[in-house]
Amino acid sequence: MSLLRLAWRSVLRQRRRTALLSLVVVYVTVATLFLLGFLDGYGESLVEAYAEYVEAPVAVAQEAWWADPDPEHGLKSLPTLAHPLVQAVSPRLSVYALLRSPYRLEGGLVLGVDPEGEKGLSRVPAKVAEGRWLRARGEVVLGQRLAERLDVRVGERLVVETGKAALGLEVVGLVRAGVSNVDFFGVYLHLEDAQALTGALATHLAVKVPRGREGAVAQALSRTLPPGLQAKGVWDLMGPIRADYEGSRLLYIPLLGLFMLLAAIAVVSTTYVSVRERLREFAVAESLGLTPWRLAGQVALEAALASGVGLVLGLLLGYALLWYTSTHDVFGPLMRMSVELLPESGLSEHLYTALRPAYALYAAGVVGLSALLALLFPGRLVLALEVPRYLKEG
Amino acid sequence: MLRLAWRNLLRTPGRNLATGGVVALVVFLSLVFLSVYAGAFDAFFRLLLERTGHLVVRVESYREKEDLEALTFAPPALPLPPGTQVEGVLEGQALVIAGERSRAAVLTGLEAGGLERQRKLLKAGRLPQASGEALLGEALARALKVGLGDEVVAYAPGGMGLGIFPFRVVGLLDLPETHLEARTLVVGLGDAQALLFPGRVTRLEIRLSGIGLYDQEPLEALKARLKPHLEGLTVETWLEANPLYAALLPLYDTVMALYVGIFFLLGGLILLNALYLSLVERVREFGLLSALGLTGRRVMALVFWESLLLVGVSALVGAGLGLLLHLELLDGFRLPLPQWILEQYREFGLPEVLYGRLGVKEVLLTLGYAVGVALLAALWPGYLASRLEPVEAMRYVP
Repeated sequence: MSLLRLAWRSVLRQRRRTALLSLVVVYVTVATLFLLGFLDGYGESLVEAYAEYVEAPVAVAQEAWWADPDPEHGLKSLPTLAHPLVQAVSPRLSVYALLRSPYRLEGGLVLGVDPEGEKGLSRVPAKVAEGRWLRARGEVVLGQRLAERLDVRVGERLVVETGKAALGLEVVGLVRAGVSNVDFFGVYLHLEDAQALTGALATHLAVKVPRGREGAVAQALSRTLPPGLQAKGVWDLMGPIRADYEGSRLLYIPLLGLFMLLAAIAVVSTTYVSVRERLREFAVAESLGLTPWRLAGQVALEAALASGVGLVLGLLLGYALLWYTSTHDVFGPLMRMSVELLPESGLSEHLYTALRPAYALYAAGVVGLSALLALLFPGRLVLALEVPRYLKEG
Repeated sequence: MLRLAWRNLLRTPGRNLATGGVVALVVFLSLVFLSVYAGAFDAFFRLLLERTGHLVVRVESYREKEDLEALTFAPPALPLPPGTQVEGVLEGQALVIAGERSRAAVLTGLEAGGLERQRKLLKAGRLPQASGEALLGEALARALKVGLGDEVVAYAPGGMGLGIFPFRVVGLLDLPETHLEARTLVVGLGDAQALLFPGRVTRLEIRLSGIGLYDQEPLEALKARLKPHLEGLTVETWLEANPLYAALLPLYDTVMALYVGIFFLLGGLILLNALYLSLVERVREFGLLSALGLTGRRVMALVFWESLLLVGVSALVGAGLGLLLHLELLDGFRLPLPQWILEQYREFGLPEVLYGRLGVKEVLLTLGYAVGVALLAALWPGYLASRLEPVEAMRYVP
């Protein structure tokens, strides 16, 4: 009989014990899958918000502009970007300005964009909830919440002042993107209007690249760009909210490791009792020619199989949970509250968990850990077995 | 029964030490977690209170009003108890211009007391002492390329004031949140009124001494006393003035109970395993006890006592260690995260140094979970033990 079949038979001999043990592993597996899915989903929602709405997948600007984002450090000419992964490029001009409606004043960052170019790069034009996207000069599109604060509606006029120049613009659209920075602070006007306000050509180039390649493309572009220009990927364009994501990973992943260790201890504890009950059985097996190390290996295999049963059930449950939370907006209320509390954060109103096969591999760590601990503790009982003593006891 | 339970626990010291260790770890982690979380929560709310004042007086229905004229009022005399500070504040949007550069900012006009409170945020220079002097957020000064002694012009059209006013920068403020720092211009109340609206304020901030952070009762009492003197005005506690933050408070207990519950569920499952193993190891012994006349209920009680003793001792050890660490946290701590992350957390109003807080409620919640887990985990093994047939049990072979 192979070692595996022998170990499997031993595990099945104590069904109730195995079932109880599996509960611990199921719980830890579900917790592992859910937490990893949540953290990755959070990261993905941030990347999507910043790449598709707030900033761009990659942005190219003068090094001086990155340090001091004022139009005076804007681009003197638009560089050509030679990289096979660049899908679209559009110039932008960001300007600090005062917005005046008939009733209210609000300060903000105004983004001058090429209306057509922006459509191929950002999802903001597609998120106009009322009115339409920019078509020509003299128009402005506002985030819906900003429009509420300014008390302006589509068709009304808004004055944009920079201290050096002012423009009277017609509000043609209100954006409802579900991303805090856009809805609370978004002001989009025609690039030529922004140029008229500042005298600058553009402050930066927004570049669309495939998801997941932002950092690599930014690095590659930085190497080929003319001196004084630098490209940044979406993770470097994020505000302080990135720290929240990174901090959460640093706090919760060690906690998951601890959960796995505790589950493995529970598995080993059960295996220990099981081995002690069967010392005579092991003595007989050894007397029939099985080496102590082979028997210790069987003990480790039993621990791995026992935790493996829990792992399989946990994976089924965990992936079912992740599938549900990745297709249903379960965290919507929590995210909407966060958006209201931290409007500058760039948080999205929706968060869907990620669902990746690799999580199963991480969760399987509990099986490996159980086998290792079983080899170290109950396995030692078998290695130190006094065969004649146990045979005589029978 | 208690002695028997205790003796049984000591018979398998290895396994019970491991299980007890898990329970102690869970209790320890729960207390530390609660202390850290409450500390962070307090820091967040303390900053909010500091900025808002205990009570705020504004014009009635101010959330629906739009223009500065409708939002401002001449401050009335208020019957306030001794030791209470009241400060008028006038706030409005302005474009701050320095040479070729300009940035939109929130212009805040403060009385002497309010200006004095900015001292701890002062990074360079001094507080305004005369008309025409201003404090700038450090990030705003950087964006405008101005420093101490330089002149900036505040442009704020639409009010009943001058609409434009020159200021000399006499101090730079270091605020926790860079996005606020980049929009902060603080001046004397008189100057703000000259610029925006003579003789008026947008709010009165009332600060009381000796009030606990979440102590709302004295605030409600003073609010009731002030109401008859506030014609056309409304008074709110700092939490009412920040309704979104106020909505967080009731969620706090639920979130905490949920977090701690996640730890304890794992601890409970491990305990259940340990109790069950202890039962299967002693089936024959339980059979013998039953044969000697121990009733099913008493056998069940024995399992419950074993569980309660194991969890009780472990919880005490975990709670002792947790409280010891909490005493350290009371003196201030930094989250175990890289410095760059802590600096970024400041942007959300979370200071780098936090102070742990652990109330009776938090300790009781943890110990309540421990007792609950001890009872629940013992339920099934206890039931099985109580149903054992003496003869069958004594013949039991694993």
